[in-house]
Amino acid sequence: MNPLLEQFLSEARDFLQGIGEKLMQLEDDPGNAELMTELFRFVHTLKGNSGLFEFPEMTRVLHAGEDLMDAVRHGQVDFSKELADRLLDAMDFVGLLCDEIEAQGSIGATHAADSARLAASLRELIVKVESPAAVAAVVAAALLTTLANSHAGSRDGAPLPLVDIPESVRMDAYRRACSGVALHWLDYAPAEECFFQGDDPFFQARNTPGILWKSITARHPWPKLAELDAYRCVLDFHLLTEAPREELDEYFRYMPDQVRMVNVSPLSLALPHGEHDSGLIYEDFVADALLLLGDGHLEGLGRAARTLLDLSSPDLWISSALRWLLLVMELEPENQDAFGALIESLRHLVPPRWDEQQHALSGESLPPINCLTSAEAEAMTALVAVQRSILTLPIEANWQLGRIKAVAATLSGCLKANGDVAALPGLEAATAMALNEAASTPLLTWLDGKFQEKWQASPPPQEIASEAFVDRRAGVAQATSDAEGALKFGRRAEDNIAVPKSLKVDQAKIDRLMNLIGEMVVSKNALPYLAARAETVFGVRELAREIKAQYAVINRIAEEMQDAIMQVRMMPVSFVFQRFPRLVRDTSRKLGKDVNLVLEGEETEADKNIIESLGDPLVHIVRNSLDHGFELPEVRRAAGKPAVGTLTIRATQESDRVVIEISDDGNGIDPVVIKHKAYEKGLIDEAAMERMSDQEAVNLVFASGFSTMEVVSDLSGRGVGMDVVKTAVAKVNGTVALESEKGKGTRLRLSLPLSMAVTNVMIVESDAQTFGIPMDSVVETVRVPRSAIRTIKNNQATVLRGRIVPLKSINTLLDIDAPPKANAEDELAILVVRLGDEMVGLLVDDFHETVDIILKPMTGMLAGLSAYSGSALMGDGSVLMVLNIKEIL
Amino acid sequence: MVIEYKRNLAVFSDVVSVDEAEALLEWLQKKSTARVDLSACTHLHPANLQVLMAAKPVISAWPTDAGLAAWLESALRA
Repeated sequence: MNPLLEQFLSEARDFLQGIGEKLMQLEDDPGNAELMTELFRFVHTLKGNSGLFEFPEMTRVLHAGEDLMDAVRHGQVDFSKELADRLLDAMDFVGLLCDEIEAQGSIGATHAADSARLAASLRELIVKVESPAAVAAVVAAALLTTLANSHAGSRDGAPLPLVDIPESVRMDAYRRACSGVALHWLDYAPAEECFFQGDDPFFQARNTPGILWKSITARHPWPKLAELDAYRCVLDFHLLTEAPREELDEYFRYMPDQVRMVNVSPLSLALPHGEHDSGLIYEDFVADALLLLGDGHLEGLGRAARTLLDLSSPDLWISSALRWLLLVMELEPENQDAFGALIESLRHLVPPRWDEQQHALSGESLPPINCLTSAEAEAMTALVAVQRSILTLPIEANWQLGRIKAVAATLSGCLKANGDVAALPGLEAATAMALNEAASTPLLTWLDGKFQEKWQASPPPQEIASEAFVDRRAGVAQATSDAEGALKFGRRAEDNIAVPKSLKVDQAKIDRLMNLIGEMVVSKNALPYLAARAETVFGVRELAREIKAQYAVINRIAEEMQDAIMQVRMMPVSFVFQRFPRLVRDTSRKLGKDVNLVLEGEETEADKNIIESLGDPLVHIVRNSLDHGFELPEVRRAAGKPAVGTLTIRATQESDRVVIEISDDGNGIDPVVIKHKAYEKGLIDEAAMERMSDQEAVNLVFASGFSTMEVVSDLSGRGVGMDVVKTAVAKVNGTVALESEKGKGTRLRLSLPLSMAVTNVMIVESDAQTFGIPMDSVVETVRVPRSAIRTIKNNQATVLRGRIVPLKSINTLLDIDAPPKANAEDELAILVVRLGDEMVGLLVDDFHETVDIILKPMTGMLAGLSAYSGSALMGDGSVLMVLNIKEIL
Repeated sequence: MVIEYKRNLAVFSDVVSVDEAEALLEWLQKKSTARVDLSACTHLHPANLQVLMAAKPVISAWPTDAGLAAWLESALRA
């Protein structure tokens, strides 16, 4: 999982939490505009964030939520409990999606239907302010759509135009269906404005998996060419496919509202089609055939059918019917009712009504597509129960008659979904009566009569409170979306306690931990002293040993602890790297250069402070490189380089340092130009200019106030760039090195400590005082005989491995009036330190061990003492002053 | 050119993008006896398809791409 997504998830959870809280608060204080605005902002931001990823299901719901909140914010819709409920439901759904993303990295397409339903239920609220009954009806309607979508056969409104499909294709499809493949009829009606969104619905339709048959139709008759708007999509796509439902869901997951998927039962394909020949009625054949069928003499029936087929012209309706009869007999030899229906159809040359046929046969071994799953049946029971409770509400005003209509619509939907078409007229009659009498009793009576017997097994509707209904709704969603049943987004708090894997902690708390472990290290370091005292002062050697053993244990734990806290503060460099692709793209475009950015080692980690301090220097470097380094494409081509330049930013870890290397294959730095510029600006004199090596000249770009550009551009050239880089890097104890070859490119190397928390220092002694010197700058420690030290003018120097090393006495530097002490062999202790590119020897009295210390910067009055970079508490309680080498030399 | 306009014949090739629809519509408005050669076409944006469906030019050659041809025939062969 990429860091962006991780961050999104963690933020999303915060937002969801926030939204939940705000909704609760709003329920107590619905008029609070401030809360409302905040709530809107949460939903809005969350939606925006989700748009960064390919989570259409999530974005759709959030978008609806956002629109709804916007309407509420502007007073178009009143805040209500119902609204809060739905929003909470939607947010639970988003939370569920978050969980799924976290677990699997993506969202299954099966959520598309839920998402569309939730979005629709939210949008419903924007349109109108409803009475409670109507609200329930809307929810129910939304539910029904889901039910119908997932399970409707040809009973879903208009019958499918299956007869348009050529017979051979239908027969082929039928064969496949009989071999166990589920067939789906797909109507894909793209949105009118989809072309403007860059969609190509035809391409989408063409690539639908498992296409058996397809066609395109126009939604309206075509207008005159002059009035035609080519960019308004009025095409509908129709497909018959054998792809599994999940695959289709996945394929059309971005447009569930534009696609109607209908499960096609195999037999519904068996529609005879052809010319009706005049007059001749096949009464004889029908009678014979039915007789044969009645006797179970299938062979004879087949023979008779084949004979008649041979005699008839193949284009005739009857031939088509006979072909189907033979095919059905071949593939579904047990389904004798189907044969009967086909034979009967010959009487009137009207295709058999397979849907009715199937209801009649539902007890038999037909494919069980018409039966609801138990979860769905349960949901429907709940639905009916709610309708019933709505009906029991007293009707006081005329407009409440709408309730009856709503209930009737819902019930009729239920009946259709259940395939109980026969009961529809009864319902209609009852509704009409109820409306006439302005009372819900007739409908109620009908409902009780109908459903009590229908679902005797299920609990009586009266016992199902509407709260249960909400829970069951989740159950339906579950059944329709995923048979595994593991998914749930019920809004009960105890149902889904999302356990976040990451904590957001205030940095101050981590800093406190850091300080505490620092003190722990210090007090731990006191134990060896104690051991020494036990031995020397109290003379208990045994105890001293035990203390040391104990110290070893504590030491190990403390070190691990320190390491762990360090880890907490670690961040990947990608944190600063992530802004560069955009920066490089924008800048290079502005400059008319082609630059390809390569980022490497983004996962390298370092302390948060270090990473943060990297940001500005890196931006300067990259801008510099783009502005000065890379040539224009023509120039590059002329120089025989690829027209597209490459800028590489690479992070690596080298022992306890992070190294960031920024290299370009641009023009490089011309040392001669630099020297002249520096001379012109008075940064160096003529002699220095002559003496200067190329590398030294290149390093002049770090000098303050240096710029090679004649014109200050808005990108760089103010002469602060590289100076800023050097200072910023030096501030965190880092170093910058620059290599450049004219015409080939430039390479900058930033070396930074992994962490600033612990500093490794060497302790030296001078005039009976101890000082710390950061190990970063220590090159070596040597003892040199006094005789090997020469004095050149006023300066002392010595020769080490063929190099002259200037010597400074630390006492002189610190204004201590004492000469350096030599040891018994009259050798002086020299600590060789690195200062930029030069070596300097420091004359000290003696060397001690190196220690890890927590360096505390000087504060208060002492902050002005630049000679010291800080102080540290030692194990024996003494204070160690750490020298700032750069300042004192 | 993805659509090559000859005197009365528009020859489609490769993938005809949405940008072509406007020009195609204009061209078809001017020609009363337009013919369209789709043989080298591999895909066309539905905007173009709509224009063809509305203008009903004579299709002188169907796409050689069988899948596309079947789709287009359902829409254009009326």
